[in-house]
Amino acid sequence: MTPILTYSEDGELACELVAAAREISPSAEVAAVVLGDGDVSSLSESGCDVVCRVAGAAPVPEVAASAVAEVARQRATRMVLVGSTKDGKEVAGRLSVLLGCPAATECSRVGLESGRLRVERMAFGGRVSTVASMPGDSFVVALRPRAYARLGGAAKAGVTEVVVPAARRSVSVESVAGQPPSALDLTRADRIVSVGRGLKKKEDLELIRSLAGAMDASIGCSRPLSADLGWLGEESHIGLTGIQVKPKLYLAVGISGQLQHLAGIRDAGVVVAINNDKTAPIFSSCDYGVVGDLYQVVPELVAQLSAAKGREKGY
Amino acid sequence: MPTNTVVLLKHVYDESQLKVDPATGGIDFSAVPGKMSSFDRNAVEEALRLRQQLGGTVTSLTLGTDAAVKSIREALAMGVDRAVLVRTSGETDAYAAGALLEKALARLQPWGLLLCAEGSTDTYTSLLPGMLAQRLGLPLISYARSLKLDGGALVGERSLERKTVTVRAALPAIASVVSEINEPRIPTLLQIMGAAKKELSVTQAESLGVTEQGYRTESMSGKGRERKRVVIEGPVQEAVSRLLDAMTREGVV
Ligand SMILES: Cc1cc2nc3c(=O)[nH]c(=O)nc-3n(C[C@H](O)[C@H](O)[C@H](O)COP(=O)(O)OP(=O)(O)OC[C@H]3O[C@@H](n4cnc5c(N)ncnc54)[C@H](O)[C@@H]3O)c2cc1C
Repeated sequence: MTPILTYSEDGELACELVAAAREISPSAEVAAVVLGDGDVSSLSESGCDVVCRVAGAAPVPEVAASAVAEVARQRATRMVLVGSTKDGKEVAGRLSVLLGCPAATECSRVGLESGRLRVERMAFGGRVSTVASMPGDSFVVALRPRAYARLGGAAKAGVTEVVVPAARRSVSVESVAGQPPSALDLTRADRIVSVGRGLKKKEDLELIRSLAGAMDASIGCSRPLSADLGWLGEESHIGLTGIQVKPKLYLAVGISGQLQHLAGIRDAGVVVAINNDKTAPIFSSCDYGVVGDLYQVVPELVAQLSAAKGREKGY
Repeated sequence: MPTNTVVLLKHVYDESQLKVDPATGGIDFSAVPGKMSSFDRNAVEEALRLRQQLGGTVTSLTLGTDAAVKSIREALAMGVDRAVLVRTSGETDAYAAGALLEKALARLQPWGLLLCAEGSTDTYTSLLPGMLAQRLGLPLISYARSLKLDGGALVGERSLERKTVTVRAALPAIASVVSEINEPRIPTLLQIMGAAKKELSVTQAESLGVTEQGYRTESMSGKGRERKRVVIEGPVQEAVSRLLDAMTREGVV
């Protein structure tokens, strides 16, 4: 079997891809490609056989795709896993053309079966789960964050410096506005309080923050709150076009529960909804729902949670 | 010199109208109406907006069956100048779609801007923008939440998970847009009637050369995750107390 290459600009996801590659084949060589001069110690302990470092290459999609394609050429393989981030999906499309093989994005599962590579992904706004297949030796698959857990206790792999011809850059970066690096990664949160258009104004986010505080939860939102209103950052946007989360508890406040939002919480443990419209679709897709005005229910929930905490501490 | 724009348009099943057999998860597509893929409206709107500065025409390009004419007419009503349908017999995988669109785009020369949506609402692979950029050797501004022309260049804000990156690329260029880039216009009755007179040319996909398809859909299931659906009504204090009990029993608070 030829080697399986992995690449993601996201450090954690890069390690998860190695675990997925191992699942495709326990015996094939797994070569993790990394661009630039950053720290590779975590990746080298992710269970891969070798880290292929392309120094001096910027982690932007056009450069990444040509670098990974060059490593693939050098190692005579057309089996590639990338991360299903926005940049990663652009890389997947480019690699598919560069390597001349089919591609699939937004995959949650990948494996070999009777010589074909099988993937699982959602379609139709998250309404449908699809199983698709590609040739077992020629594919580009983009896997979603947290679909696989990184392997533990792996031996340290060596690092090989790979030289690739300098890629032409056709898009120049003028400026970058980032989220604070401390912004919590919702894909890892155990509890999420998520808020939607039921919130009347930005200032009322304080109410949601107090609930999140009382529950020791992180804050997420529906698409309109981040994309259209900008009340919360894009990193908080949950759903088909945002992130997919799997907390133990997902508490949806003032969210109607449209398909595209639900696509982000399929793997959540317990889903709770607070909504004043008894006919809102979220009530058919939650475990527990309270029909009521969030401006009354949330403060009451905060009060009862605090009271319960107080009792625990013996006050 | 005026610059022409091409905008990609896809006709898809309306995902909100899918009929799922709850027992088997089987999906009946036969009665599902089609619609323009939602984000394509934003791509069309952006093409029409930029046309004011570019001065050229806007052509929509669609890969699909005859059913797609419904969405194409809508785009023409919005203000697209003319439309091209590359007629296929059914669903085309992303790789073959890229190959077919590359050929169709060559026939539409000269153009200086290619716009499309970040993804389609049916398969949502988001593969085409990257594929076309690679095939055509053109710069791509993907996931654009804003676009503007600056001399002969396109400047866009890319909306990524954890950052917004402002980038610049010389025309000819490609951009894929996210829905918050604009508010798509709704055509008037007069425009809808006028759209019927606009040019729609049809090309058979087979005439562009067949491409091997390595991607195969094996099965689909509409079986959702079953939830308990306990709905609590009544006075707030009591309802919240019952909710808290339930959450405590579940061990999540
Ligand atoms: C292709 C596509 C992709 C999309 N991707 C996503 C995605 O990834 N994520 C996403 O979230 N959306 C996505 N959307 C948008 C999605 O379809 C919905 O429009 C969106 O999720 C609605 O957000 P919402 O529930 O906050 O708002 P609304 O649908 O407006 O719902 C607001 C809810 O708040 C309730 N409410 C109002 N006032 C109160 C009150 N005082 N107390 C309690 N409840 C109250 C209302 O009853 C209502 O149910 C996508 C759409 C498309 C077409």
